[in-house]
Amino acid sequence: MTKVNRRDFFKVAAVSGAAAAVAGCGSDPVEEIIPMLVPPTEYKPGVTISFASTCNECSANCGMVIRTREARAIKAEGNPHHPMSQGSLCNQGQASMQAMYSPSRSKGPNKKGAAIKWDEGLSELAAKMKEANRVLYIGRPQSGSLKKLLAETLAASGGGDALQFDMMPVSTLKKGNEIAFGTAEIPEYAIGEAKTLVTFGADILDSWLNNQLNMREFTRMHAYKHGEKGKFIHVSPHMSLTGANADQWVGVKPGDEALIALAVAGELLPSSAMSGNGALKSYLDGFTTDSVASKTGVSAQVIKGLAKDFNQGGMSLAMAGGNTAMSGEGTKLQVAVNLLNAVAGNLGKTVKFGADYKIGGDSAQSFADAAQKMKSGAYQVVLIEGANPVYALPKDSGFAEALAQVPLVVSLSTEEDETSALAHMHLPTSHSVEAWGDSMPRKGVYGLQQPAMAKLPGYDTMSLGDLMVALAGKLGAAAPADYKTYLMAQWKGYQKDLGLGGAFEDFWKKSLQQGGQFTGYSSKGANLQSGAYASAMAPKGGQTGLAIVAANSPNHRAEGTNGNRTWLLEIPHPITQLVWDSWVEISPDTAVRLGVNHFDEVEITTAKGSLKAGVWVNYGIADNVLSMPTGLGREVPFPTYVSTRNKSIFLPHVEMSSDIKIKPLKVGTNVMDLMGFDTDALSGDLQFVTAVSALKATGETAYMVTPEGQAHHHDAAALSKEYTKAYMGDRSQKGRGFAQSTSVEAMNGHGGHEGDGGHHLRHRHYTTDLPSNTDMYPERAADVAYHVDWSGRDKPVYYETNKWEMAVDLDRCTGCAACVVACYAENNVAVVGKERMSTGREMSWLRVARWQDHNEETGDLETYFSPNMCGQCANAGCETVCPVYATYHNDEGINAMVYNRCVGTRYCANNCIYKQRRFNWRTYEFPAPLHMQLNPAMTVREKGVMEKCNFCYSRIREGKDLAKDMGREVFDGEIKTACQQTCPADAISFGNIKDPKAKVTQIVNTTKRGYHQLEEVNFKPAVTYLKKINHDNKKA
Amino acid sequence: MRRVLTILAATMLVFPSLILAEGEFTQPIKFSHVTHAGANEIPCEFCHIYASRSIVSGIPPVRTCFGCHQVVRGTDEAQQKEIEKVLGYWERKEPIPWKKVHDVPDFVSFSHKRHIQIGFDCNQCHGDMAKVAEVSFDTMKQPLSMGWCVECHMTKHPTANGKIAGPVRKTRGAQPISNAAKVQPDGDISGSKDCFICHK
Repeated sequence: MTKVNRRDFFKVAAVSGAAAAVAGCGSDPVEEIIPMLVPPTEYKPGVTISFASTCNECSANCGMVIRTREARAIKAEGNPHHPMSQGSLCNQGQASMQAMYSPSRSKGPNKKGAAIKWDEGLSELAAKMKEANRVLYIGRPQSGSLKKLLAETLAASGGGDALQFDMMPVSTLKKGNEIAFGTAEIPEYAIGEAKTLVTFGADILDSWLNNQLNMREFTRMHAYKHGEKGKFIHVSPHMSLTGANADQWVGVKPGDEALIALAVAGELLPSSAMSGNGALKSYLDGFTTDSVASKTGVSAQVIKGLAKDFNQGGMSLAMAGGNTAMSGEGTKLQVAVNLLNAVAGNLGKTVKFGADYKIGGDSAQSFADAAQKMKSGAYQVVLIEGANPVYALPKDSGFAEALAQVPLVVSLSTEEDETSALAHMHLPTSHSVEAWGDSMPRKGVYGLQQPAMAKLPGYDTMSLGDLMVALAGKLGAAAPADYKTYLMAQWKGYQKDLGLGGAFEDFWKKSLQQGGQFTGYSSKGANLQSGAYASAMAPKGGQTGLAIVAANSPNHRAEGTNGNRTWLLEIPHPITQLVWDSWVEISPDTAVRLGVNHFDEVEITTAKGSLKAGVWVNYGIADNVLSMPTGLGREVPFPTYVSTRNKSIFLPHVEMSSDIKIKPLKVGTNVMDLMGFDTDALSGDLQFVTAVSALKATGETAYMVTPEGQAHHHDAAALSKEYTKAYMGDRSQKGRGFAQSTSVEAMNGHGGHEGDGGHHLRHRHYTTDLPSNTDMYPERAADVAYHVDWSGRDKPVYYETNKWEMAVDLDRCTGCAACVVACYAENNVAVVGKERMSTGREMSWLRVARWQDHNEETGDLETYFSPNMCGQCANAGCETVCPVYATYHNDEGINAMVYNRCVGTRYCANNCIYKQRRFNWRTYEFPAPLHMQLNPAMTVREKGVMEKCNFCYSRIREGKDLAKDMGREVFDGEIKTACQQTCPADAISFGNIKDPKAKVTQIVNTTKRGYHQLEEVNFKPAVTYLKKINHDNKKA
Repeated sequence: MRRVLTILAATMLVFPSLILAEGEFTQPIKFSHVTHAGANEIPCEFCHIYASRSIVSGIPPVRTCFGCHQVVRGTDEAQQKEIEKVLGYWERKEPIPWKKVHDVPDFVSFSHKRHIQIGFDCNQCHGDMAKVAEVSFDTMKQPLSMGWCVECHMTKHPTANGKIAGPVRKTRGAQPISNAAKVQPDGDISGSKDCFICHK
């Protein structure tokens, strides 16, 4: 029998199918090609143009670069010039593209849905504002020129109040600083300079203050460098992502954090410069280690250990804040932590003042006061912009009822939400990607925001600045032509403030190019006031009994703006890995005591209400504490992928997009329904902790979905201790060593464990005995010769100029998953919804795996993260099994995937040991206008096609193209993958391994802690992981 | 409707000759390359301005049409009528909805820039457009199929195998690129036979 080459076979097979294929091509519809009327000079269709701007998704106002193609924004990236985010962007910032193209966006000015004209609406509003005694404006926090314009507009209307809506409890921080230091300023926490960082509730990597700046600084302090790394301890009822990155997590009851802080301060006082302060000494004597230990249940040994670690001669840092600290003792905790920093000598060294940080908004109490005034008829007109207090505030704040009493409520929000539904008139503003603006997040940072594209077609909106200018004009104030004019006038002033000479045009142009003007500021210290140790500040400690915490995460924010971003719902929560859901986190012991099991549906009842959620048992939460994610329970317009299975006659159905209905889908429940409107007595910030009166199982099993498979699947061999409790299940790596670790001591040559794959984690339960590091497959001489001949060369050339490789430093990775959002945005990755996730049909090209492994020395569970993407294996299993050559290895080392060659056998996915291949089980829809975000440099995949990470090949193509234009090679760092670009921890390095000077080459060649996942299978992946480094082989 | 589609699909498999007719279309304006590129010898890149700078060559912006036609009003009635239409679009500030003839599939990344910069002549792929009165599928010189692309990359031009020897660009009236080798750093197009060069 003659040997038939695979390619020849398919050539023959293709001929018989050719006619049918022609039919398919012939029916391709004729497209339109629409030129611009007058193109801008810099516009080039098919070329990416980037605009430096400012992110407006939260009040941190990080620097952003918006990439546009064909004059529409397709991707948000970090601005490397910006001193705060330093080139990265968080999950929420990445998802600003979904805010821009949100299917919930309001189409145009309307009165309860009936369309009106802009002029008509604005005239009516202006008239009513003039008539009104007083006007209330509720908006997102503004730190730039808009704040001034708003004040002018309100003044023109005859007086009004402006409130800034943000749920971050910063008033507590300000109040604590006012009491302790006599200044209500938000200080700069120099995390990067600290040797020891202790956070009391402050979820600095999740949501507290600017999490990008925090993460940048945190990796500077905590990543292994020159033989050492800092120590990080998290003291909180809820471990969260922040605690999962700590070396030690101290679980306490909500409200007990301040006691611990004071006990530590008491331990440090004798060796402190403040030891002579008698009043302080007698205050701290009331919080001896032993008394605090007996009160809180945290052992004296732990507190003494904390004190020992914290004693760094002024180079330690304690931070407090975040939702979990808002238990009623929030301000006292801030004061106690300020006192601790003062005793440790950190003031002026790691706690610096003078930056005038602007983040967060007004306290919840000010909204309650405003609601009271609305009820009493003090406000006749209420304007609400970009805020959703009706959703975010607890029901008994009375906000919705108060709003109903106001004669005219006007929503200026970009999207339709729970609050705009109650408005009499909706004048939708443009998204910040389409608008001018600026921000001053701290002294010396002037962030400029420029429109990266024209207004979204089909949406009749007005930018907030222009709206204010128009309104001011109608109110009779001297208004400029438009907001850009106003902004430029302000920036003329900034030029003077900055002392920069030259023409304004040059200054303006430079500001636009680099996203603003950035300088430093001179910092100063502070002195501890005696009020900090007055008896009124003495914490009482938390109550006993079951309590629930409303916790934020990088995907969940109490403001609720993330609740309808499908990326943030689909991307697994960093700790629980749950998608599209609310859940209740509970410790194994508490679950056993309450008689509930993992994945049980329970009903939680508080004084304010009750709701149902699934139980997720986790060791990372203190006993007697429950936690639920914030920002959920909102409606998302989402396609209903109704299955057409079993309905076809004799062929599979041609599924038409008209079959797909867009339906509002309620995701999870709103945890605030359990919360009462209780505020911190001193600061007025909302409490995010409340007592639970009952928790009982409903008898149902909750429908909760994680992409890692159902939690009921146990590995019997691993079951011990916590695993068995409440059927928590085994979340370990099962000895496979995906995320490996070593210790600082081992790296420095002590302890002798270096090179041992995660020696304190469970050992691998299989061994490999590779005779040599040669290929798994025998040399295919004939095959190689054929290809050499085909390419017209003399000898085989492997990886001619470039071979792309990646290094992932697990010691830097915090598991925040910003990279995953960036990947979804860059590569047109489809969102599939909960049901399809539950059957393993997620499309994520990059996932951050979370493992909870047993430390075999201490017996404790520890959390590890590993970002997993396609390894572009040199010896890939997928390539050899593809019958149609749809996936192959290209000469740059990329495991390429040719979509329209793929016939969907899925052999490749079955043969991939890393589970990196994703199959399109159907054509997933991008509900309008989300489809406008799609990256034209990437194919939008259809049903029946396999896909996976290709190291952002569209970016490689673009980078090489640019280099070719200039007649040079690509230089190192020029091409960044989307995940690498947005990583605030700089955990991902990417480059050409053939370039000896490339960062990735240097890392891979010099590191002592590099490894490949599942190395024994010899797939030779191009992703090198660098082991996590722990102190003393222990972590949280 | 579904049933009909299913049966239709099945029929097409059995009787491949039942091919659906290609979409009939007319361009919004009866534009003639014979007049522009032929009689008046306007270089291609006078209108298709992005050809050397982007992946697409670009359809001229309406301003470009108006630039000439505010003065050039046509010599006969037929021309005048069509030019009136162009001016109408400009006055209404409306773009002209041209129909796409040279349509590369959405999953393909084809770069005009790369080919033009290396020295290809527009004619080599698009044929002598100066002789084409109205562009339609019938006037396409090349099928823009993958086989046609690969044929060039593999055999016709030495570009695929090593040194660049791109033909001289006549349409722009440009000089031969003497430093062609410098366009590519190593004088070689790495991976020009790689599927991933085009399949995005």
